[in-house]
Amino acid sequence: MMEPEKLHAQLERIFQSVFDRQDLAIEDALTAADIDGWDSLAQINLVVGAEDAFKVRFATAEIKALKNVGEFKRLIAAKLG
Amino acid sequence: MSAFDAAKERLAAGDGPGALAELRRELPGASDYLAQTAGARLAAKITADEKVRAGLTPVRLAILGSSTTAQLPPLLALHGLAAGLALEIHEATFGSYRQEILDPGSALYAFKPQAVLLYVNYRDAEDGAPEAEAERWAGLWKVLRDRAACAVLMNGFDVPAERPGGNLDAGVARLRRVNALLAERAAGGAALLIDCDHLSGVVGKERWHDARFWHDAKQAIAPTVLPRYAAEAAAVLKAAFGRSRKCLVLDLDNTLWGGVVGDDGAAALELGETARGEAFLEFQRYLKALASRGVLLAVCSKNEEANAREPFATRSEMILKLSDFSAFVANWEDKATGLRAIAAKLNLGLDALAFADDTPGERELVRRFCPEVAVVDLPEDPADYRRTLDALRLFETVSVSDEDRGRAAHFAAEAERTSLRNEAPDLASFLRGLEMRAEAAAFRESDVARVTQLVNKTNQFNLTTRRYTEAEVRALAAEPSAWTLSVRLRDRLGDYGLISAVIARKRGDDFEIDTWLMSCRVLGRDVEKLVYNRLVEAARAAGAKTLSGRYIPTAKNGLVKNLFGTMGFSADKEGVWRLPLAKAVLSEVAIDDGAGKASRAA
Repeated sequence: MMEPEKLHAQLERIFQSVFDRQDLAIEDALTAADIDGWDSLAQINLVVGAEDAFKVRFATAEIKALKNVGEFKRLIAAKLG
Repeated sequence: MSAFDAAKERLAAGDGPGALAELRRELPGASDYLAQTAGARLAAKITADEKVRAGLTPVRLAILGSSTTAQLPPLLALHGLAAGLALEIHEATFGSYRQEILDPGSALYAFKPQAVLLYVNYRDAEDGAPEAEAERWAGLWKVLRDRAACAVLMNGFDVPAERPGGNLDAGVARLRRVNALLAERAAGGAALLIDCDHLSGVVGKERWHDARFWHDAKQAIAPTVLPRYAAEAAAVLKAAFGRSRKCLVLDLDNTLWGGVVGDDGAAALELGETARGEAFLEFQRYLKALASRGVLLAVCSKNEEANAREPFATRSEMILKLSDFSAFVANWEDKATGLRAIAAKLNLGLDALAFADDTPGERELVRRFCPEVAVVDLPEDPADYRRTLDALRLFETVSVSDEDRGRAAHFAAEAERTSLRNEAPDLASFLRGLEMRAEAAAFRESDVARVTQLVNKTNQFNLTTRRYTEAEVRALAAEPSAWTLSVRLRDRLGDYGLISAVIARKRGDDFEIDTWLMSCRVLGRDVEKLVYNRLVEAARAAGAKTLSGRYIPTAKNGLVKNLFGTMGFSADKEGVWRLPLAKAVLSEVAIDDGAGKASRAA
């Protein structure tokens, strides 16, 4: 079980790296439509980054389903048990 | 901290060439996909003009993919920098490679590629006779060469992890057969195959292809291993455009053998017998294989030349012989000077050299003063030397000729050492940049074991070679008339530990040096000057009028024959070197010794 704040901060760093924006602050409601460049390639980069950082594995169906930050966090937290 | 922070800082400061130099340092194999993708974004900000001015070869590369290639161009461009290439990349529409090749009016030919990469995978191998399949691809290569006069690169087929037929799987056998036939047809320059079956085996086939990303986005190679593929493809490209390294320059002590020949003696070097000794021999076997296919080997070692050569003559376990080396530099000059001499002797540019050394400080100096040289960061454990060197793909060739195999013999035949007197780089500023910190103090109980070891083992930088037992060292530390000094050194690259020991005594008006020794690992780092300053200060504080010492010659300490002379001492008839303290001038030292004086002058 990881503290929610720690999970949030770590995920934020991944978003910052993928979108090349050091000032990017993420919040649960943030969706692909809100971020310039959140396309299918960025989606894969986010998944790869999160899998590496949190040592989790997303299922094929989950990769596409992750449409906003809140879902990302919920799914990671669930996988971390 | 990401692997590319230094490049980022340079770019932010508007220093394109500086950022380029940082990005060109051999890419850390361990850095992950996201880090490399970030590095690739930085690489894209450097102008083509800056790349050409830095000596990179511009190459127009077209990527024709049967699967998604979106992540590949930036990674390939990044790895191209380290390979000496400024890649301009055209990415064909995914899946359209046949049309692009066969249509003379396609965007591919309008791009006028100098190289084409057929980014295909095992799913592109069609059913039917392996011979017909190989023929089909060879036909595409020919069309490309005829129409664009370009180099053709193609992924060999990556046999998948899954085998419905188990050990008798027909698909596996067939793909292997097609790969072998493609290799036969490629030999002679028809195409350059990137051996993806080998590469996928090296990284692990279960990691190489991730079915989730194939189903989701038609990614044939998983993003996490794509940097490794990019490195391999860049290596083949650099071979095609003549940018492969031609000569590997090697350190000796703890690189080719375990131990320090000057201190331990040739007979005591670790070669075989122990597990660690076996690792050095295995590394030598790999190097021998490099040499036999035309890579030149050279030595650049800080050693007395006779000592450096001795193991080749007296240790029968040595796989490498002196005749395997095209140049042999063993002296006490800095290694940047040594590498320039080797390049001049072999009539090669510095950009044809690679340099492998176990000492981080030596590697840093070479990076700083010879940035064109590819520096191999040998890991701590010699068992990992082979793999580390191999993974850098420095010596890729497009073919192996008889001439390549004979090249080393040619250079060896005309070998005679040239004297090394090129202009010296600005060592003072380099040394300051190392941020060296020393701790110099009288022997403490915790120093006794290490000091005793140094006293009994140090042969080269040792003025008197007097040996003492641990009990004697402990007694000296407690003796009121004795003055002792142990020096520990660390810098931003690492901690060298306790590396110098000095024993002196006040006798009347004289402060007499009984023992002064130092590990050769820190030679040329100003430690001896720091010790000199401490001796002068201690002698003055003790009320002495002179500082004196002896040089007692042995077979191995020629290195310090003139140490006292260079420090302003004069020798009398009995061979005692004396320095009148009234005239003594303290040395400028690039080490912070805790007194807050990073460089002190009189």
